[in-house]
Amino acid sequence: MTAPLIFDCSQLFSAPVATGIQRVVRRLLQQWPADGPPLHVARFNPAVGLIRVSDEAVALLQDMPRDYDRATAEELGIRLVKLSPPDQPALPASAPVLLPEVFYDTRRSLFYDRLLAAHSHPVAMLAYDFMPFLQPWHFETRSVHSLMDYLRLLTMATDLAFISTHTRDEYTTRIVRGKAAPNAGPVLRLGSDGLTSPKQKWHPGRNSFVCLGTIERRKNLHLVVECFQMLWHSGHKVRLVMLGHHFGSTVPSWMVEAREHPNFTWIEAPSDNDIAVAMQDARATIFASETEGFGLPPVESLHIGVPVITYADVPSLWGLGDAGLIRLPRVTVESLKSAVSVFLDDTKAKAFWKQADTLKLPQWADFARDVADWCRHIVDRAATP
Amino acid sequence: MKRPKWAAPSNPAPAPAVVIVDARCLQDPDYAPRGVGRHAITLLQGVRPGAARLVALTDPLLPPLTPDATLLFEAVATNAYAARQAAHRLGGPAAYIALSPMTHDPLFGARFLGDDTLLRTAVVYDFIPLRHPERYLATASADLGYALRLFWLSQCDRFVPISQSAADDLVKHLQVDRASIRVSGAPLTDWHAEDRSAWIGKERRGILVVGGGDPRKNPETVIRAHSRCKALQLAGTMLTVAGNYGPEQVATFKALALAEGGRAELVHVPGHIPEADLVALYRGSAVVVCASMDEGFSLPVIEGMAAGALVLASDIPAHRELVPHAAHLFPVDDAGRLADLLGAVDWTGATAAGLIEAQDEVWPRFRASHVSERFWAFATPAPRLPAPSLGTGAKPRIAVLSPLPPDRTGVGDYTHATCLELGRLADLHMFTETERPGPVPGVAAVLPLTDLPGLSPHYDRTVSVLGNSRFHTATLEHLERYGGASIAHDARMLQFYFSERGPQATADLAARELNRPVSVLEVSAWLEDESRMETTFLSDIAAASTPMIVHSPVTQTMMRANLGIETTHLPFCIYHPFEAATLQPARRRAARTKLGVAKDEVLLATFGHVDSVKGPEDCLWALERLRSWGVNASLHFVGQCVKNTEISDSLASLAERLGLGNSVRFYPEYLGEDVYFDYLLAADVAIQVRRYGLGGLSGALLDCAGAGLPCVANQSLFDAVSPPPAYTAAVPDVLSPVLLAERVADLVGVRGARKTEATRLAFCDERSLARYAKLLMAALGLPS
Repeated sequence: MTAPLIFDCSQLFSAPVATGIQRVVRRLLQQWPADGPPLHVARFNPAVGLIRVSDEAVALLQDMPRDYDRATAEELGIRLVKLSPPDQPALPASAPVLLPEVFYDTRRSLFYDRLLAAHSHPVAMLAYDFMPFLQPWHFETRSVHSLMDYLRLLTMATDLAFISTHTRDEYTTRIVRGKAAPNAGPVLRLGSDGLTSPKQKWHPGRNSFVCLGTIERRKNLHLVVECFQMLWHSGHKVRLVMLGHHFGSTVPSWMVEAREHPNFTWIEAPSDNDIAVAMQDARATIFASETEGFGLPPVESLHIGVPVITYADVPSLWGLGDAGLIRLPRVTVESLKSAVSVFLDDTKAKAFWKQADTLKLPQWADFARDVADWCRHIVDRAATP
Repeated sequence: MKRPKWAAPSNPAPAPAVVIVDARCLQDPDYAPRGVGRHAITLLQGVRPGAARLVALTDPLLPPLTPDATLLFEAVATNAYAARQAAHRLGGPAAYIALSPMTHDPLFGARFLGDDTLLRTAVVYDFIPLRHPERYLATASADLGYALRLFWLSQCDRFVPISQSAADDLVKHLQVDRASIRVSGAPLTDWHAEDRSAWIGKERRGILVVGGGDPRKNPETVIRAHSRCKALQLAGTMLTVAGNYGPEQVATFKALALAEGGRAELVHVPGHIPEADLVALYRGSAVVVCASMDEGFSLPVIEGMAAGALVLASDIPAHRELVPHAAHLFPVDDAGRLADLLGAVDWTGATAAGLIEAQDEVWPRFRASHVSERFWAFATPAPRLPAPSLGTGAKPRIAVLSPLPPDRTGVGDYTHATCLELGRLADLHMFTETERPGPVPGVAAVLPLTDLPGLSPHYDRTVSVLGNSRFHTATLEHLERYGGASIAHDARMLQFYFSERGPQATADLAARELNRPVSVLEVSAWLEDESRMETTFLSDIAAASTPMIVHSPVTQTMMRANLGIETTHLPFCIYHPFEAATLQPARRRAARTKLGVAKDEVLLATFGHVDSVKGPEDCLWALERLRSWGVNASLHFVGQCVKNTEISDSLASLAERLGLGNSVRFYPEYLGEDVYFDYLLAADVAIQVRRYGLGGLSGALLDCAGAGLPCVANQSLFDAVSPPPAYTAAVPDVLSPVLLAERVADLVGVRGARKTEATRLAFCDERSLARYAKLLMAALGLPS
């Protein structure tokens, strides 16, 4: 039997929201293969270190629906604490640890720092992206030095997997700057079957373009809006729908202005149903971000058969070819307008839909299996005398 | 004083005279709506010979000029320096007029009162305080202040008193030559000077006294006389006492009437009334009595005459020159004599008509147009021919106000370094708050900072050098009062205002700049973390400056964009120049040995006292990255890091935790220049970053560039200083230790390369003190 693996999901336990990296961690819990290393789910407590999360609490995390709102998340957090008091059975003493989360808790980093130093304990981590360190201007802060303990821990982890080749490249060329990186492991692609919407079919009545994902400056959504304002100005009736949370202190002026237009819709906290409804009318989705660690929305869109207008170099699309995609080498108002115009032509749009229909993309179960396989090697290695 | 040849361009055509007017009495609510203000505005509204152009000298501490006054000026300046600069832009000042020289601080305009090249004219009202010192000059400060005003008044060339009696006093007290005096009189307002046909000849009743707040107006004598005059009492003749009297005073007047045997109900005190109603009172009164004990000029006398009333007046000099019949004068305190005069008045009007004819010879002289005409005929200088291009050839004289060494301020060091080159181009007089300053090369004199540079007309320019520290307190006060050019070294003045002007004043300034309420709490939070600061606190300096000079193009852009303020940008220059010989490898090796730096060690230095806004944690983390990449680097904080403070403890702890203890050096004590220069020589790469992006400068970054020391700086600091990109690099303003480490790693080994040295020399030339001095002269409008 495979030796056990400690699965530290402190962030998910303390803030069990349905989005972002917590979503990835929940997918791992939900779809961890039966033949994978047995998981001992744990959370970090600054006073004592790692504490087991009770089976009931784990079951609750696994059973939650794919989508829920913030209030439900808060309620879930309270229930988790009640279901998993600190006095849980001990964790297996020398089991390797998998850290599938991003966290900026210095105490937690220092705990693993000491663990690594004292016991040469296998600690495996999943690296998502290095944007805060390499493109810090996208974040509302004056310095990212307070995040450096996490980065340092990544470099010290015994095993490191990456969610994209891009992230792996950045790690080897910039974070460790070409120094030998024996911990740099495989690229494990995230699942594309995150949307609950059914597979979509082309019909010429589709009249919307949909942007999925958070509203942030780096996503270039202001350029998308500017493109559509020009289209509307020239008489087009096509709709633009944005689905995603806004990150930042104030709603940007372009969004305030866009919301005045009858053909524009922004749903800030979209439910699965909101997304499904939007996709039923979508001609294509648009993903204009030029800075991503992975970039789930375009592959999620392709997975349900909806073609995508996207920045050419999104990491999630590496190695996928061009089927169902218009790749923009540079995201500008003009390049967006040109791509949207292609989709406004029924014949051309239909061709893209046909291409998208044939794609086979990795799913969350594949991701969970890939992670489990990687971890099996780690636990086996650790068990070898 | 002869004009130097550079003072004016050659132009054969006479230009309209440019006249600087001290217009503070038209701002001051105590004077603008009253006699002084009315007189002043009437003078200015008159037709000016040669279409003289007016520049207003105003006080920013007073309310703005009244709207009608504002229209009269082509430029409005908030200090004397700015007024002179504005006048120069219009062709150069030829005259200065003090509209009310005895009511406001004379030093404010002393720069002009002491300038012999100007025709200086004072409007003179009276010298009443000298005749009643017990009332007006009872304190030492009042007495001294009045004497000071008299002194500066005496500096004028011409005097335009409002009355002959004021002219006589002028001669008596200041021994002024009568040839320099022209009596203007005081103007009637249009109300009083209207066509009289509408009311002359109609029935008039009653007696009018126009009083006011000052006891010398003496309405009591009139009340006594009216009460004692049986004929008036029997006839029920009303006595109206106009003026802003309250209920208590009204009761006193009525009690006085009763005490003197009169009827209280015949004394009418309407209180404050609009001017139109007062005019109506004049026109309905048979007699106007002016009983004042003293006046510079008595408007009620001529207003009464213009209204067609019989005017009886107290026997004082100001009245004597206006009242045509001596019989209509009465001793100031002689109520009996006034009662007799009132009793003798022919109330039917027949006799009065004859008397009034004589009065009609008097009042028309005081129509506003006549008064202003007399004024301008005397106060306007002859058309000014431009000065010939032959002058003394002397260098322009500049007063520089700045801290100096040994005060520990980079601004003082910068000024000190600048003077040698600037002194080749100008005659420099240094005024400083620094105690016991050392010698300053290139400077004619080093003097304690007083008001002198603001008062003296002998400085062609005044330059206040300012920074964000206590060393500039008096300099800024001087600038705010007297104006001048300024060099604002720092991109923000938060600490200065907070410590020197107090939290509330600082919050108020921020609120003005941001156009929103700002609390003391918010400002305090900015002080704790300057990266959160939203504004620069530079607007008040800009308002007082002509021009305001900044060294950071980022600050210039921000001032324009956020505050709509134009500044002049001069590139920050190298004030610690390095000779090529100083930078030879042997000298560098010696410096490294002295500092205990190993040969194979990559020495990183970050200069300046250790402060969280300078990103010390980012530097430590960058060192951690570099060492993890195999770079044998160490980091020295070349500036004071006081022991046992929050920052020093936190940095020491972080260095220890990251295993950098042996690779990091802090200095708990203040470092002298020798150590500073050793590090400029010894280091391989410098790191100069700020967590706020307001365009702040770094003298150390410039020194690094001058010494050829490769340096990494954050983008806004880089933009502010513009060091040579060949051996300096920028990182984003949002600091990331990884990016810092990457740029440092890129620069390791760059120092000393031939290409770098060529770039360094070119940069040093471009940013030399000699070039800076020339640019500064140009910014001041002076030739070099």
